[in-house]
Amino acid sequence: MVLTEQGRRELEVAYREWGADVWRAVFAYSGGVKEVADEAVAEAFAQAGRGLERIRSLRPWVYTTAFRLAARELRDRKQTSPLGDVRPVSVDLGSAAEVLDLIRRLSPNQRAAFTLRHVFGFDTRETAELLSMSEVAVRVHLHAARQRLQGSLREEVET
Amino acid sequence: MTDDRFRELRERPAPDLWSEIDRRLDAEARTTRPSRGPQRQRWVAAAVAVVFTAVLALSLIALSGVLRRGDSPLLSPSQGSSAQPSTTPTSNPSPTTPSVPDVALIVCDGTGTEVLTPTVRAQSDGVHFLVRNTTAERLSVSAWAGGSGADPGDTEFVSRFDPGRASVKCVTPAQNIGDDRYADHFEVIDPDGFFGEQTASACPNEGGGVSGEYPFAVGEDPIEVTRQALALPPHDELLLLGYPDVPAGAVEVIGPIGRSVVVLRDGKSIAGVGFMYEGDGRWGAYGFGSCPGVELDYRK
Repeated sequence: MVLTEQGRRELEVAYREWGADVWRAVFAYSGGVKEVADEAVAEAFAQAGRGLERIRSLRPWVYTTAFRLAARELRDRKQTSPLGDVRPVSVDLGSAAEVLDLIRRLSPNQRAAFTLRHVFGFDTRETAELLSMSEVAVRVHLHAARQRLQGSLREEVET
Repeated sequence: MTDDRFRELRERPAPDLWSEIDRRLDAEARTTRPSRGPQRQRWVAAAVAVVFTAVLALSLIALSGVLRRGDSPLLSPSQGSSAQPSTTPTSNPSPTTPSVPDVALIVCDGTGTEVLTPTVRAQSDGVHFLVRNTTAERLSVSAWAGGSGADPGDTEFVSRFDPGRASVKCVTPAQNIGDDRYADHFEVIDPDGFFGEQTASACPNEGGGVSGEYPFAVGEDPIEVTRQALALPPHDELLLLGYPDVPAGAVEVIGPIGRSVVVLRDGKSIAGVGFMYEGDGRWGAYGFGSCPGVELDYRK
């Protein structure tokens, strides 16, 4: 499907409006691996451009796709990593390093739900919308995430 | 302190990726994709035929399974007679099973199918599996009464397998996709309770059926559609089974997207309705079955 000039402009406007938010969410989701966030977000928008006319709601589509692409990239890196782990090597994470280390302990769905709900402050309904899930499913993933993190962040994210 | 750490992530400067996105869009526009020609057409025709013939059969199979499952409530009280479409536990999910992956890894090398993950956890929209095609040609993939194709490299799919044994098969164009020697299996577990509880109780001599046009009822809430279509009295309990979310995003769906409603009367299952996703948040009723001696009629 050919992307029209108008479609390209719409996509750029969307990117300028909330593309950076997607990148930050995927950056956190990936545990602070900048290359993964860069690639996932660029490719998610590019894929959106290829099928723009078929996408009913662009923002959730891009979030969901970027998370999935990041998950796939992390999985591939993990399989080829001699240490069986993927950690950022070249980015100054500052005070976020501890949070990112915790996020890396979660499963992909838990990580996505936790990142949007607790790191970026979306409510459960918004988180569900951005992840193309039901609110019930988001609550399940958040509950499981809190269980897995146990005492580490639990006090701050009980609500 | 935690809030400060979160703020650092929320306010982190993001790179400007638009030039890279623009470049990819331009590259895509310039690329002329090679036509897959007759081979692709044959595959599409076969896949469509498989899906269409499977949908009705699958509905009825799922229904008979639902009816066999029980003369006792299949789900917790919180999931019981509510008209809400979701069956997922909200307050007390089972402990997660971190060591079990939530995406199955399947390698297809042109000689058969090899599952590298013997057990996989279901997700809220179904069972995800990654097909790694190590050949240089597109392979046909068969799963859950559906089919698709996988180009060389990795392709992620999702199918609505019930918890239990799941079968996946990939073949080259020269191989027979109906030959089960090319298939391999994995076990689907559902520790988060997305699909809904299953029991082993039996509905003896299940029967019933529906004739006429399909779907025979359509709506956003399968429970409400069932209650109205079968003209059920208010005291009948309706339970919704099947994965609560509809797959979305970049993952391709193989097979029908279905859910089931089981009707309980006085604690015993008396009937079931199988639904298929119609798009736009709407579900269509394609299958209907009832236990012997149960008189139910359905309304258009």
